[in-house]
Amino acid sequence: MLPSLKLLLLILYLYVPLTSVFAAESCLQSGSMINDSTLNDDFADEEFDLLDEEDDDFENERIADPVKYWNIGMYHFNDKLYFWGLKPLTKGYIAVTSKKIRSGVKNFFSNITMPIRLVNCLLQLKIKNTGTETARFVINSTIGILGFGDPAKKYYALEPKDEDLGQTFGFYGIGNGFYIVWPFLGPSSLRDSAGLLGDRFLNPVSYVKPWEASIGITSYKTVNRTSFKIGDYETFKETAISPYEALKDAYIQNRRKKINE
Amino acid sequence: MALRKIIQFFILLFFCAFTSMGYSRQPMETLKQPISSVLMILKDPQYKAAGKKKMQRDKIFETVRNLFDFSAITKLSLGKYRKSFTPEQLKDLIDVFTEFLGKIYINKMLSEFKDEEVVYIAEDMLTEKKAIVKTSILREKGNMTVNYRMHLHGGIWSVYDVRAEGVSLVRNYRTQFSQILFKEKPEKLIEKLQKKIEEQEAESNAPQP
Repeated sequence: MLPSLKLLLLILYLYVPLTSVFAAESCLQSGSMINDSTLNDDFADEEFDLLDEEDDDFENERIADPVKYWNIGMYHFNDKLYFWGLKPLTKGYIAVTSKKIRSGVKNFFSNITMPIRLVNCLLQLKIKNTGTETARFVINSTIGILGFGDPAKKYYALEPKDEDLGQTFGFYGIGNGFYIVWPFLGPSSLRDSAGLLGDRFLNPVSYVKPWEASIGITSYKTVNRTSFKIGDYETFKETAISPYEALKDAYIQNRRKKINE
Repeated sequence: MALRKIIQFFILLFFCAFTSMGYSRQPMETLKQPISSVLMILKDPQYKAAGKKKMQRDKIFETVRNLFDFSAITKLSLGKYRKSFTPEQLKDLIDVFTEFLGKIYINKMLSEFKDEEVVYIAEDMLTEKKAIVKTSILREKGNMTVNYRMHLHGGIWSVYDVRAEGVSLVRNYRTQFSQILFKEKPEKLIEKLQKKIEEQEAESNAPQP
């Protein structure tokens, strides 16, 4: 028994280093193949696969831009509004408040706009999400002290389900319509603008009288929300070669993603 | 008794050799290593000094250079306009777009990084040569889902598209490029990218307040 065992051990002893050498060699080879121009022909076929896949999505989700000059004008208006108005205001706001306060305010506004998310989850027949939003509202309004805290997310792992009427319309197959940029509100589409109007009926803040107070509250909510997002818009502009087109496309892609989830 | 143990040991070694022979690492594995290296470089205190930013940026670029298939990314971003580029122009575009993406995104990473963590969620194999790796970036501003589309090319998995919160990088640039190429010649696109890089350089070299 012993000699055959010795043979087995010898074979194994030799095999292990040999396989690792082969593995290393094949890795080296494939590494250098990437830069080999003769590989381009093979790649061309694969590329067309990738292109086809990308093309399908792409063609389906282009959006018409018939009011382009209005949109570009509004885009520049909003851009200046951000850099000359909203950003300095928000920076001042950040300087005089603590992160805790701002988080609390953000949670409060998120909590009172629950009806929008709840109704739209229901309309999209997302029963589980409807339940989650209900639970979040109950927990956050009570344990979370009128919504300033978010114990639902922290202790019960109940994430907010971001739904609005525009997404509901999209869920039922209504197309974007066309692209429109509103002053102050930013990029939107015909469908999503109709959604925004509809959601106003579900938003408690819209019922505050007088209407100046309602706008004031919404403005405060915007400043507070922006305090968390400073830097995002600047990043976006820096990475874009045509910022207007980039924003339009990013808006459409993001809405598509939200509708699908 | 000891003999049995020796045999078991070698059998184990045998199987280990087998797995190390895997010449195409799985997509998620291929992604993890450069990403964790980049996070380490971003957190590394030796780069805190002002003059070290360029070194840090170059180091990050070296780390991720092979992870991204810049040639595929550029070609996909051109879409149907690829045919209007001569091979020379295409090569120039790939070079300048690679530099553009590298510089702009890494600069942003350097200025915005605040101890973000990356969580790996799933790896979907679409075909044996295409996969999506889903990750989430945990930041104090809120989590961001980032999906990497990867393909197996030349035995190595590389990224050909990144989708952040549903927005595909390739599609976004394709929209922008097609707007430019609709009216202008291919050289103009290369020029615009070059100009954008120079603007960025000027800005980052400007004395910090």
